[in-house]
Amino acid sequence: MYEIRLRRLYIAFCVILCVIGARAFALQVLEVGPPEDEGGSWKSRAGRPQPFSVHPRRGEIFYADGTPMAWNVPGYGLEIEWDAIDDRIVPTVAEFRASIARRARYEAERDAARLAEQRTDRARTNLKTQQDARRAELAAWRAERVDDLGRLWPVQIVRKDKPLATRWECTICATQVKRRGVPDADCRECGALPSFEELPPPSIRDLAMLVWAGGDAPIEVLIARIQEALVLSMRRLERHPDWKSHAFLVDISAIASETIELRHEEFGGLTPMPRSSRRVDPDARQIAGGTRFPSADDVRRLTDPARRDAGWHVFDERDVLPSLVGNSLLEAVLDDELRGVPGEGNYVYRRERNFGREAIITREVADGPDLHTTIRPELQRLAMRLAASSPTGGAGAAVVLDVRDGALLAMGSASRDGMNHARTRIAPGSVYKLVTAIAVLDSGIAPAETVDCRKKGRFPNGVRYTCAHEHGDVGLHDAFVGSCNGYFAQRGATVGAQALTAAAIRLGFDTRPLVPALGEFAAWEPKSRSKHVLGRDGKLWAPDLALMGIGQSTVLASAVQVATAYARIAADGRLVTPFVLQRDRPLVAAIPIDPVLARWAPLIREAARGVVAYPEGSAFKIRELRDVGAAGKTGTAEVGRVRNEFLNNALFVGYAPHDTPRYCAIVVYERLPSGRYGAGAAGPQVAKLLAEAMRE
Amino acid sequence: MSSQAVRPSFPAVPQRWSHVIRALDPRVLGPALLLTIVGLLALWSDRPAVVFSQTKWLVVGLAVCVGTVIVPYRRLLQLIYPFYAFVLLSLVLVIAGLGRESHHATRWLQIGPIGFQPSELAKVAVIAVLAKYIRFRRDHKTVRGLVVPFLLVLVPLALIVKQPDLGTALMLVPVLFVMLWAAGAQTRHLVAVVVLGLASLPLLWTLALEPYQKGRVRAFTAPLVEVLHETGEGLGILDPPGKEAGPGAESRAATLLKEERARNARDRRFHVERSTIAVAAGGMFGLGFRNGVMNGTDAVPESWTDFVFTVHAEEWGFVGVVVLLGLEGLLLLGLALTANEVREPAAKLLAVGALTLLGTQACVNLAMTVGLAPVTGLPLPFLSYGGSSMLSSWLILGMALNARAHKPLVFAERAFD
Ligand SMILES: [Zn+2]
Ligand SMILES: [Zn+2]
Repeated sequence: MYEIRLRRLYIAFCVILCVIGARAFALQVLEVGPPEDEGGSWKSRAGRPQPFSVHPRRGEIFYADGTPMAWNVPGYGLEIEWDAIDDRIVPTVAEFRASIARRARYEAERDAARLAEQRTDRARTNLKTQQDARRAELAAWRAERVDDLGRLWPVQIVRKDKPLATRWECTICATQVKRRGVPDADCRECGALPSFEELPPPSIRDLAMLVWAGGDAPIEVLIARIQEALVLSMRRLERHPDWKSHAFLVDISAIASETIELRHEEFGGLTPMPRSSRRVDPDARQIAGGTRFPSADDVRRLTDPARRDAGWHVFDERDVLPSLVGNSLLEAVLDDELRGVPGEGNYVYRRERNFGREAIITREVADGPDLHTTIRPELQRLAMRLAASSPTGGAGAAVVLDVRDGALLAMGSASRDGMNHARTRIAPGSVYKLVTAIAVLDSGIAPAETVDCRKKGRFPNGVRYTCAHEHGDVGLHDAFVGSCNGYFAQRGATVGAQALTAAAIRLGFDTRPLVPALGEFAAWEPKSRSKHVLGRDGKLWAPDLALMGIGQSTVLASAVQVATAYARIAADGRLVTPFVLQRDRPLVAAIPIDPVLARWAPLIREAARGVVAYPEGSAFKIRELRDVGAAGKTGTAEVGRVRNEFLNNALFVGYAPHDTPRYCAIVVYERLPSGRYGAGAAGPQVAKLLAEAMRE
Repeated sequence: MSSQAVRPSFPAVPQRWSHVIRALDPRVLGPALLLTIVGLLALWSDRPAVVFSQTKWLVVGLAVCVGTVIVPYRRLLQLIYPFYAFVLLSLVLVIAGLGRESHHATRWLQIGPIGFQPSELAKVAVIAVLAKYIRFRRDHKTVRGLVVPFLLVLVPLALIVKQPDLGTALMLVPVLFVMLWAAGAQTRHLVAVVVLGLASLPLLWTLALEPYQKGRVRAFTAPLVEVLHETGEGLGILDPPGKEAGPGAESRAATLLKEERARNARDRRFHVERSTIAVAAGGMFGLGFRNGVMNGTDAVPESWTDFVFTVHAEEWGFVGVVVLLGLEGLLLLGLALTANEVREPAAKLLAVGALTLLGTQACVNLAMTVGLAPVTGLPLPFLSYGGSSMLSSWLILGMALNARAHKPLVFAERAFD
C-alpha cells in the first residue's frame, strides 16, 4: 500500500507541474498571437513589451548671476501614423480653408505689429517688402495644400462609397472597436451582449489644447498648423506604395510655449512628441554657441559603441533624432555632457479588465546638467555694444577678465565675417611692448639704461624706426609711458628672439588656446615671412626683431591673450589663465606665481599708470581712464593701406583700480584709417567697461 | 540499567566514508544543483549584487547537506524531541516580540551572531518529529491515533500563523496529511478532517488571519467582483446596504476609507498581474539571458525572491519553463525513488516528508507566479534568493539522503502495509 500511495503522490505532483506548464504555454505561446490590428485582441499585447525612451532635457547654460544664456524652448513634433489615424480627424476642404484663413489673419496682425515697432522709415520699408514676399509665398503654398486635400482626401483616406468608421466603446468593459455603423456582435473581450457607446470623434482642437498650453499665438494658429502638417504628410507619403505604414514627424514646436509632461500621448494616430528647440541670448552667442538638429554624421557619431570607452552613453538612433546637437563653442565642446542620458522603459499591457498600458521604467532619464559660466550679463551686453561701435563700423572686440583668478567676465565681438574677433589673431601693436619690456628686464639690462630716440632714425646696427615724438635719451619707464618705438625697436633687436619668446610665454602668449572650451585660436606666432627673416645662422634678422619688439607684423595675438598678459602683470606675476565655466575656477592661492613677472610687475605697473596719468603718457588725453583709476597701455598696429591712407588696429588694454587691480579689459577696433583715428579710439571704451565691471 | 544499553548503538560517524559518498545520490543532487544554477542565472540578470551572497549560501547549504548525511538519522532522531522543543520555544520568542521585523511580519530570531527563521527550522522539525512518532505505531489508522500527530503539527503551525507567515504555515498541512497517509492512515479519516477543517475556516478567518492576509486570499478568490466593489465602481447590487444615501451624504472619512480600500485592492492584484505579464513576455524562446525587460526594476515586486520564476520565464521563454519544470519533476522523482528504496519506517517517512515539502512548496510557488494560486509569500526552493530558504531546502534534502545512506542492520518487520 505504501508503494501505491507513494506512486500516487508522485503522479499528483507531476499533474500539478503539467498544469503549471500548460498555464505557462497559454500565457507565453497561445495568447501572444497576432497583434491587435490583425484580428488579435489586446490580450496578445500583454506578451509584447514595447520599448520606448524618454528624452532627457538638454542642460542649460547660465550667466554668472543665474540668468539664462542658452535655454530650452519646449515644443513638440507631431508623429503622424496614417495607419492608425482616425479618419474623422482629417479636415474637410472647407474646414481646412477656414482654418487657413484664420491663421493668415493672425499672421497679418502680427506682421503689422512688428512693422509698428520699427523706428526708421527705411527699416519699415525693408520689413514690409520682406513680409509681403513671405505672405505671398505662404498664400501660394496654402492654396496648393487646399488642392492637395481636395484631391487626396477622398481617394486615400476612405473609399467614396463607404461612410466613415466610428469608434465604439463597450459599456461593460470599455473595449474599443472601430466600425462603420452600430456594432451588432457580442463584445469580443467580455462577451457582453452588444451594448456600445459611440465615442466622440477625436478633435484636433483637443490635441492642440494639450500641446499649446498658452502661447503667444491663438490656438487657431496651432490647429491650422497641425492640419497643414496632416495634409503635407499625406502628400509626401503619397508616392510610397505602403505609405500608410510610415510615421511622419512634423515640427510644430514654434507654436507651443510651455513645458508640460507629455510623454507619448496618443491621439487617434497623432502623437505629439516633445521636441524642444534652443534659444541663445544673442549677446552671448559667441560664448554659448549654437545647436542644430542632428545630421546623419551626428547619428553615426552618437551611436558609435566606441563612445562607451570614453565613458559616454551610446545612443540609440531613436534617441538621437529628436535631440539637439551642439554646433559650436560651449554647446559643441560640452555637448556630451549637456545632452544627458535618455530614460528607457517598456510599455506592458495589463492582462485583466483591459486597463490599458503601463510604463515600466528600466532606466531613469538623466537630464543634462546645467552649466554656469563666469560671464556677467550686463558687462557682456556692454562689451557686445562697444565691440560693435567701431568708428568706421568695422570689426571690433572687447574682453573683460577678473584679475584675481582669470575668470572671463565678458567677451564681445562684432564683425561682418561672423568670426569672434576677441579670439582671432590680430597684430597687437604697441601693447606688445610689454613683452619686450619683460625681455629687457629679464636680460639684465637696467631700466635706467637709455637709448637715443630721434623721430626718424637708424641705429648703428641698421635698424630703422619712426617714433611719434622725438624722445631723445629715453629709459624703459619713459619709453613705456610714451610708447617710444625707438627704444623698443632697438631693445628688441638687442635682446634677441629667445628672450622675446621666453617673455611672451611667461605672459601667456602661447601656441595653445587659452580657453579650450571656447576653441580659441592659438595666437602668438612669429611668422617666417620670407627667407631673409631667418639669418644665415638660423636666427631672426635684426630688423624683424626690431619690428617684433614693437609688436608689428611678425607677431599676432588675440585680444584675450593681450588681456591675459596685462592681467598677469596686474596680479603681480600670478599666472592667471582665462576660464569660462564656474566649475573651472581655481583657488587663487593655488595659482602659481612667475618669479620674473613678480619681480618686475611693480615697475611695469608704475609705467602703465604713467600712460594714463602723466602728461607725457600716450593716453593722458583720455580723461575717462583717469576717472576710473585705470592703468594700461595704448596700441596701434599698422595692418595695411587703402589708397593713401594707412589702416591701423587701435587697441587699449587696461586694468583698474591701478593700485589694487580687480578687472582687466581690452577693446580692439580693427583697420581704422590712421589719419582720423589713433589709439585713443579704444581708450574711453575700456574706461566704460572697467567702470561697469567695478559697479558690482 | 538505562534503556540505552539494550538499544543497538550506532556510531556517530560512519567508519567508512564510502557510505557517505554512496549516499550522495546524483538522482537527487543532480536536479537540485541544476535548479540552483538556474536560480543563480536568474539572479544574475535580475539582481547581480546578490549572486555572490547566494553562492555563499549554496556552499553553506551543500556543507549542511553533507553534514546531515554523515550522522545516521536514527542518532539524530534520538535528539528530535529536545530539538522540537527548542523550535517551539524560538517560535514563541519570535511572537513574544524578540524577533526582527520585515514585510509586516516578524520571522527572524537572533541568537548571538546567528540570525535564523524559526519557521524554516520548524519545517524540518515537524517532518522529523512525525517520522519519529509515527514510525512504530499503528494507531494512526484510527481516528484517536490521529490526535497526537495533529497536535504535533498544529502547535507550531498556529505559532507560525501568528508570526504571521501564512505561506510556511500552510506548507505543514500537506506534510502532515501525506506523511500520515503514506504511513497507512485511513483515507476517509483524513478526508473527514479536511471537511471539518474547511467547515471551521470562517472561524479561523476571523480569529487568526491578519487583514493583509485576508486581502491576499480575497483578491485571489474574487477577482472581478471584489475589485469592482472595492474601487466603488461596482454594480449597485454589490454595494453593502446603507450606502444608498447618495454621493453627497458620504463623509470625508468614508471617502478616504474607500480610497484606501481601492488602493489595497489594486496592490493585491498587482503582484499577479505583473508576474503574468513578465512570464508572457518570454514567448516561446524567451528574450535572452540578461535581456528581460522586467528585470532589474521593481516591475515585478520580489522578483529575486518569491517571484524568481518570472525572471527565468521571461528570459528563457516557454522552452526554459519546460526545462525548469522537468528539473523539478526529476528532483521529485529522485526523492520518490529514495522513499521507495528505503525499508525502515522512519526513513520512509523522512523521505516522504522531504518529497512532500519540497514538491508542495515548488508547486504552490510556481502556481502563484503564473496566477493559479494566491500570493502567499513562499520562496521557490533552490532558486529564490535567501539564506534561510537555501539552508532549509538543502537540510531537508540531506535528511532524505540520510534515510537512504544508513540502512538498518536488521529489520524483520515490514512497515506500513
Ligand atoms: Zn465588453
Ligand atoms: Zn621715441
